[in-house]
Amino acid sequence: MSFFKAMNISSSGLAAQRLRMNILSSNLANAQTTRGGPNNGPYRRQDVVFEANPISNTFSDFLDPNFQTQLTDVKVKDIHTDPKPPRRVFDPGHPDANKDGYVEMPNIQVMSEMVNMITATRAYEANTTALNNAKQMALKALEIGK
Amino acid sequence: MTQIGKNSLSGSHILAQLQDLKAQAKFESGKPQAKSEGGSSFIEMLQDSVSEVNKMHEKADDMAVKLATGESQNIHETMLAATQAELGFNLMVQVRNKVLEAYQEVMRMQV
Amino acid sequence: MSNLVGGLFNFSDRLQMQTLGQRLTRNNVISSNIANAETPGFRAIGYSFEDQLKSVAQVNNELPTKISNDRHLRNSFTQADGTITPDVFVRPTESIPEDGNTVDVDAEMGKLAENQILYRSAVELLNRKIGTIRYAITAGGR
Repeated sequence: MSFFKAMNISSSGLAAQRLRMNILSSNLANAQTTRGGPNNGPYRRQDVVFEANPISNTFSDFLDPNFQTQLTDVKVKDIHTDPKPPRRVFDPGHPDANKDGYVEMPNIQVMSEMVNMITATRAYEANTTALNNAKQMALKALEIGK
Repeated sequence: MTQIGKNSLSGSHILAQLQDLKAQAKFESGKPQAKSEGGSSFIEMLQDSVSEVNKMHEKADDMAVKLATGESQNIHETMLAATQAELGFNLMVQVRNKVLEAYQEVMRMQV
Repeated sequence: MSNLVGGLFNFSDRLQMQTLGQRLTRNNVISSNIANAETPGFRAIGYSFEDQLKSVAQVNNELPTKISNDRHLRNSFTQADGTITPDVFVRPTESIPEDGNTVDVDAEMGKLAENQILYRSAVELLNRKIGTIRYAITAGGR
């Protein structure tokens, strides 16, 4: 088992959380966007799908007696659009109102997006801590017998 | 004592030191009064320790090369092997010093 | 390296000394990647020398006695004067974002940490070896 595998796994986690942060920022910025979405409709909320990806493909790793659990890192499988229908708000004066006076607004709950942002930030910090710890352990190993 | 100033020195100085120690150990065995009954086994012990320290150094070097080329990523094991080799060498040099000291003390004894 | 003191270091030590320079160059390459993390059109560069070193280590575990300079490691990867040629390449990525920048800051930071650890391990191993030689020179001569 090496330190560098741990650091690669942590950096994949960091990249995944960063991508999630980008998507959340895009959701928040477009919470009131009524044009430009798919079919030129309102903006549709997007979400990331993470997938656990086993990191070792070599035969020798499977034979290794220490290799009891599969080490997996994070991969962003998909950025999928929320299939929930958009909110309908009654606003006849809006330029995008349909003939009944309803405007289709994106179905984005600002509060839940903020909570997701906090989660993503904490996960990013946790991954940073894990990477730093792996590095500290390796540097400590250099002091054996000093 | 082995000269360290010669240009034709091809191996490491450490190996020269080890061989020096081996030659002195052989020299010790020629002295009848310096050693007691267990003399031959002591000489064998010294010679065995010389080759063992050499092997430890070779193993540590091999692990260091593997770490540098990325073949192995075992930093702690490499450091442990390097520490063992260093300690083994230090121990051997100290043993040699003590043996020399004992020999010189014996030689100082007036008959 | 002079022949007087140079003869005290064996192949493993010379290899460590060479990796010090290579890892410094790789550090600069990774730093430039990180600095250009937001530059449009910038492709991340990689710097690889370990494979060349590994082939040298397998072929030449003992250096030939007659070489012009102790630092020369010879095999098919080496140039005419005996130094190895490291590989500078553009890092392959699965997809290229729209602004053309392929730098993944977190992966580069991870590689930076790995490079630093290996650099310090080479320095530490050399220190141990030098300490042993110094001990042999000073304490052994009684």
